[in-house]
Amino acid sequence: MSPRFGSIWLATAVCAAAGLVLALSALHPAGDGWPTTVYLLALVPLALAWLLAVRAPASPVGAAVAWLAASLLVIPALNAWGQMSWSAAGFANALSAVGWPWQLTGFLALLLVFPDGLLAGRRWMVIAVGVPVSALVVGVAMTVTMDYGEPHAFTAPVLVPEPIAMPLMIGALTFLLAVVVACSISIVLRYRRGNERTKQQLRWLILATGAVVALMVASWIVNSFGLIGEAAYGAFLLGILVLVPAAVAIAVLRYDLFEIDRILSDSVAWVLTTLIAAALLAGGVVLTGYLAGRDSVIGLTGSVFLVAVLVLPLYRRIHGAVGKVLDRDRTVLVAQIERFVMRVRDGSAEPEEVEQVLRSAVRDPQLTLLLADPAGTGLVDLTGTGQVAGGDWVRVPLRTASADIGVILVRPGSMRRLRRAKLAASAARLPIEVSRLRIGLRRALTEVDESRRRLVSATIDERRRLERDLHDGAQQQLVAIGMQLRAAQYRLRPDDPVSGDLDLAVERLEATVAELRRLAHGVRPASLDDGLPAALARLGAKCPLPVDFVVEETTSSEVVTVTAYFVVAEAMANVLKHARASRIGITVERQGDRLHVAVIDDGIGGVPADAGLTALRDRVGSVGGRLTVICGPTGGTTVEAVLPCAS
Amino acid sequence: MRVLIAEDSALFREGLAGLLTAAGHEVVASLAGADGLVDAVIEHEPSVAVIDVRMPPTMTDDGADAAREIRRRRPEQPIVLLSQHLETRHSVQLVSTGAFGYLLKDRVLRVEDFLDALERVASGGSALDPAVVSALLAPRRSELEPLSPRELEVLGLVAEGHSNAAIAGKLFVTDRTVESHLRSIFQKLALDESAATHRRVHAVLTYLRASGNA
Repeated sequence: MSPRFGSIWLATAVCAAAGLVLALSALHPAGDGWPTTVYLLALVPLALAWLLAVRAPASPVGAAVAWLAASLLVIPALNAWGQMSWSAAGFANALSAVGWPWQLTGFLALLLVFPDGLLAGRRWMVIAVGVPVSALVVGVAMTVTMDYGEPHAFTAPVLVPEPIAMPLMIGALTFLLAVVVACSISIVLRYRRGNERTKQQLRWLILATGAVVALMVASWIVNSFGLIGEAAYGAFLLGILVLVPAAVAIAVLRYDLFEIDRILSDSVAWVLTTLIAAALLAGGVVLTGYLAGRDSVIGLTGSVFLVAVLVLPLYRRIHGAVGKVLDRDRTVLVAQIERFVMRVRDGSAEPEEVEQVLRSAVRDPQLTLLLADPAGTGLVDLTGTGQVAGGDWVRVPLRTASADIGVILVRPGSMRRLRRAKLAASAARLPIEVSRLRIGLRRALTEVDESRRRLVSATIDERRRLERDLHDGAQQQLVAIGMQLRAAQYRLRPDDPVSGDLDLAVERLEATVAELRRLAHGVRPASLDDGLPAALARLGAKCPLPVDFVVEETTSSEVVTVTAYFVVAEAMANVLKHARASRIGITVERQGDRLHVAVIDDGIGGVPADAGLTALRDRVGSVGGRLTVICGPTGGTTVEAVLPCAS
Repeated sequence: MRVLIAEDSALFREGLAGLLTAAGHEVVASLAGADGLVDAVIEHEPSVAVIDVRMPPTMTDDGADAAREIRRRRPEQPIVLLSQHLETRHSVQLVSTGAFGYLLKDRVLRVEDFLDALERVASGGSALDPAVVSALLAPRRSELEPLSPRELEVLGLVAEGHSNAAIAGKLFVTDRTVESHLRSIFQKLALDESAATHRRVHAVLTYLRASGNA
């Protein structure tokens, strides 16, 4: 058995003995009953001490808690012993009188060594020694200065003279106070230096200690008004016997059970707000009372009103400030994500950056955000690629009222990290949902785009085939027939009247061939076989206006070339129809992976509401390009198409 | 003339052969595709080879490719390319080298003009389809502005490959008038004047071709 178990056994034995004494005193006619029931509470820290000893045998905290219980029980037991006029009652009384400050020592020792049993530093040994010494000094000082004058109370055989008594008492109490302050400082130091886990554990202790102090103050106030009498002291005992050991046990065994950061931060903010509000109210009442007479109703009402108005913003401010100190991670995390959401809202950030933001906020560089596929089942990442959630990750589900929107995968770790991830996920719900919807939208648009492109491509192939068929089929047949007619004509005499008929027939045939060629050109200009510049030059040749060409020889797909050709053709037709221009400029140039096609005129300007232009816009859009029509301030119109030619 | 025909459409091929025979010419060979065309031309040494641009095996530019190959192996061989539609990509450069013609297929129906073009090419001259010429002239319109409409007409006819006498005949003017027009044209375009028809055609086409790609 480890020495710690021995220590706990010893403390348990002491508690048992003290409990026995207290029980006997309760049965004794001279004893008063209530402390006994209260001290039954000591079973709680004892039980917790054993729980700690079993579950965390390496931790010294179990023993400390056991001794906390023992130190609180021994003094009342001695006191009870003394009151019952048993043997050695005088000695017991004397011990209890000298020893009452020892009730604090268990608690102070806990403050000094929590949570790992080590002092904050070597020099702190002085304070460790100071704890029992100061308790002893106060006990002795009180004993040698106080004359209780009661039969059961112990009065020292020799009392120090009056002039020395007061300074002695003050000195001794100051010593004790200094030790208490030093222990508190030790907590602050450990908190500052400690790692995340130590901080978490200390927060539990700080919360419980704060509660004990608050209870103590409350019971003191209640007591001084004489409302409940000594029973008020029970609240303090409840705090120190139940709250502190319970907090300590949680801190050691399950330090991330609740969001202690938040509980502590909220409590502190609440207490501070209450104190400041009370001070404001009191100050207001005193001030208005001074100015407007003691019983001024207006002063009181005004002060209450003022405090009521101030209390909410005050709480927010204090909550924020306290949060930054006591609940730093959480406050920073929420602020970081809220900032991001703001930036998404005003457009300076993309919602898809949410994964990066979550990673930095939760401080998990491997955090992965997977979204429920908007188009079906399964999960996708932010680029819309399908993903499978791996096994080693902890899944934090993301839900809205009606649907699962995805999961966040985080490295396995403490509950605290998980809670952080959940918090971050809920704070970033909006950009996450937006990202998910945008994936769906993007995918739908891409599909529409691709299908449109496929359609156009198919149409253009179709037109090309049609054009070939016209040229090589119908047109060629007609020419061949014409030649047969000519051959027949040769066999006639030159003055044969049929010869003239044949001439006419061949002429009509020629006109038909020309018409066919024109039709085929509308289907797909065969001149494009020579390249875009040649085709455009031929287009310009038919134009009654002078045309200035700046046309680069470029290589781009059939689809883009045909589109560029029709942009120029349609725009030129528009100029001739509407613009009353004297010249037309045509530029075609490649800039990176885009083909810029522009038709510029010097006409009257204005955008004709022409179905041709709309059709052209559709045609350009169908290959993923963009058509713009710009009117100059002094007339003239520029029709510009930008066509992607990477594909 | 001894003519070789390469044309995939049987109807057209027979029609053309009939036409040429009726006009008193001899068809020495007729092929339905580009395969073996070059060898056939080398073998038969025709006065002129009439070749369709679009032919088997690939149905793209096989005829034009064969023409280039013939030109490489037998530079003096007269060739006339026939096309269903305008393509200037291959034709103009070859035409400007002389003994070369490029015509749309339906020109065949203007039998006299067609035979005239064939004979011109067979005798080392050139023949360029009027549609091609106007396509070449169009983009150069601003540079050709100094020319009078008549001079423009003359320039076009020169580009088509006609001799001075032929131009005079077409325009119903005297040779001297044509010559004075030509002098004026060459001066305005800053071209070296030359008496020989094919060199003149070469100069004009080189000028126009340079513009076409500008």
